Amino acid sequence: MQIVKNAFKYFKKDFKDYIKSYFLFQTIAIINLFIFSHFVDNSNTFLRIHFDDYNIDSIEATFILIVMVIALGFYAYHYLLNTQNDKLAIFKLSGIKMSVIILYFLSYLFFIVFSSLILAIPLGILGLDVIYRFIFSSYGNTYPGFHFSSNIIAYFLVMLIFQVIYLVILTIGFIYRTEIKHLIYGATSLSVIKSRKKKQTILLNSLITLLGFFVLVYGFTNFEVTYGDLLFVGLVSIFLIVKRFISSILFWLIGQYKIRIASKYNNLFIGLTTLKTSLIKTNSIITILSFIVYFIFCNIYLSYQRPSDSVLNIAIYAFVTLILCITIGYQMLMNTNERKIDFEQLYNLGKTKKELLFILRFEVFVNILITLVLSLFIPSLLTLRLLLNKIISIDLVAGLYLFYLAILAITSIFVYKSYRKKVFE
Amino acid sequence: MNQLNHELNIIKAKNITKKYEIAESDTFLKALDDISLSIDKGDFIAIMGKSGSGKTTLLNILSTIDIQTSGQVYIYDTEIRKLEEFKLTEFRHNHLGFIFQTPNLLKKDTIYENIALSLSMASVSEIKIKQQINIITKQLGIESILKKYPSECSGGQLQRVTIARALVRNPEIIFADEPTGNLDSKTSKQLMELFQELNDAGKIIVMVTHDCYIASFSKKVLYLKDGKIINQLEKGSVSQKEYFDLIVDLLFKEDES
Repeated sequence: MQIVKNAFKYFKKDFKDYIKSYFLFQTIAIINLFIFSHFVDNSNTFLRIHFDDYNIDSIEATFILIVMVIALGFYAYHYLLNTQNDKLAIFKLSGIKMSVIILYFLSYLFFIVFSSLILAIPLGILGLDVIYRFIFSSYGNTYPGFHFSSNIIAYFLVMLIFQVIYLVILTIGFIYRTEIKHLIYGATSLSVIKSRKKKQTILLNSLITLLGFFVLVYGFTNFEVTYGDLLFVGLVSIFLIVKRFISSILFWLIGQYKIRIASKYNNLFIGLTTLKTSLIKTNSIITILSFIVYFIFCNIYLSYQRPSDSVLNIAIYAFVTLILCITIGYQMLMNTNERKIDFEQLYNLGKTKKELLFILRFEVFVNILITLVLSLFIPSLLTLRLLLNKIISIDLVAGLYLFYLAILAITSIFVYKSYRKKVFE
Repeated sequence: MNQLNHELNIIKAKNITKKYEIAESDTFLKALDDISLSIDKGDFIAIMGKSGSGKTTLLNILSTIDIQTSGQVYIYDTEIRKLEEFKLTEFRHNHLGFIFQTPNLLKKDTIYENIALSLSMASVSEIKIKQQINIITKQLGIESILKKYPSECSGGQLQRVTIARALVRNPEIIFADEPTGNLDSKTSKQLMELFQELNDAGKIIVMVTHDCYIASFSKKVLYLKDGKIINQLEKGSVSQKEYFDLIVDLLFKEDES
């Protein structure tokens, strides 16, 4: 019982700092789940507002959107666990038994999931209500009021059970992996250990990346332009290429560039080191971003001839891009306290404010540039393929890309300004 | 006879080697080179040597925190490398206490909560926790800061808190890495006297230090150079002053060589 009390005590203490992002995605996932349930079970609602031209793609889009937002929730939880590294290592250092640590973290997880549901369900109902009122009023119809569809509880429970199983596995894996030496050797040495492990698998990762490129080229040159085929080729190649490319090949390239060229320019050398540290933390989100952008581009392009589906998909694209960019910004800013100490040390070593600003700018803008290039790389091949086949217009492509660029540009400026303020305050 | 063996070889290291790969290169650094030693019941050992000689690496391996590249470490006849994480935490809980130079405290917890952590998680009653904390904090002179947070305490106070956290569970073997690194000379002496009392009560203490005075409280000094134990010194029946002089001589000779 005391362990559960302790878990609740730390849950309250950590709430302000770490748990917000998980709550955000849980809430969005539940709003999406409600929308999805209404698509599937309350088709009469749509018929009444003359949405006859909605087809199965829109239902799929909403469903996959739920899965993706849940994935972001997992990502937020994974990130939350990483912030608990020190605490877990201190638990082990203090001689706390493994069974007690597991019970503590599972209680902690229970409080996070349970309290997020208490918040997310009313917000989900409210969000759905607002969205429906808006849709009905735009079509000049009377809103019949919110009511639960017959299967919504079943969908909700399935989602919850799936989430909890995954989170429990993630938590136990985290408990087993975290060691006391994390505290003693510090983050730098840990990254050395990680880089050593990665080096051993660089060949395997390069081969898998090549396989991904093969799937991509073969798929785009031989497959039909159908929703299923394009989705398969894109998502499989992103799975095989993006994260491995960053963690093995890109990091290796940065390392080589640092040793061979950047070592002559001290600030660039430090900038590359901080960039790598920053990319270690953001590479998962870049992969998720690639998946989502590709998936939504697929939906938009293939529903291009059906205006109502197309409008819905573009709205989803705008919404998801926005929350993802907020997540990237949030993630980068979460590390500023740690980074402030690094910059203080550089200042003590004689770096001027101008030099520190160069390093900071380099880290933020190059990170966002890498995010932009990598997340758009495979979706751009899809765009090119469909442009060549004259399935989509250049206006649509320009609109989508400009929106994406604008959001990422705003994110990078916001992150840079907040980061600079935090470091130099 | 078994009992005797058990008491003679509580910690046993056989041919320990530890290599680190240097980041972004293909070269290795040999931190420990074929070290063998045994630590018996009642031992109070000081590991000494210059920076980079492998002192902390040896302590981390003996204390189950790090894993050797080759060789074996046994504590109470249990080979540490073969213990999986579940049993390892159980083993640490039952036998080991750690003190490091850096405090490693939970920043959002008060000093009292930090010291009470392991007892509170083991569901020990609040009254018993208070009693134990009162005794240990009085010994270390930190009873007045129990309601403070780590950010409100000095380096020396934090160091004493980590010592209190390690001792509150009453472990049989205490591993300490530069435990007096952040303390003034008076508090360092008090801590060493406390270590001596604990050692007299049957605890094993293995400590890394570069300070000859601190080492003079131990019963045995192991001197490391380039990852090897190149010299050992036992206190025997000499006084602390004579032992201190012997340690200074040893360090002087090794520095000259």
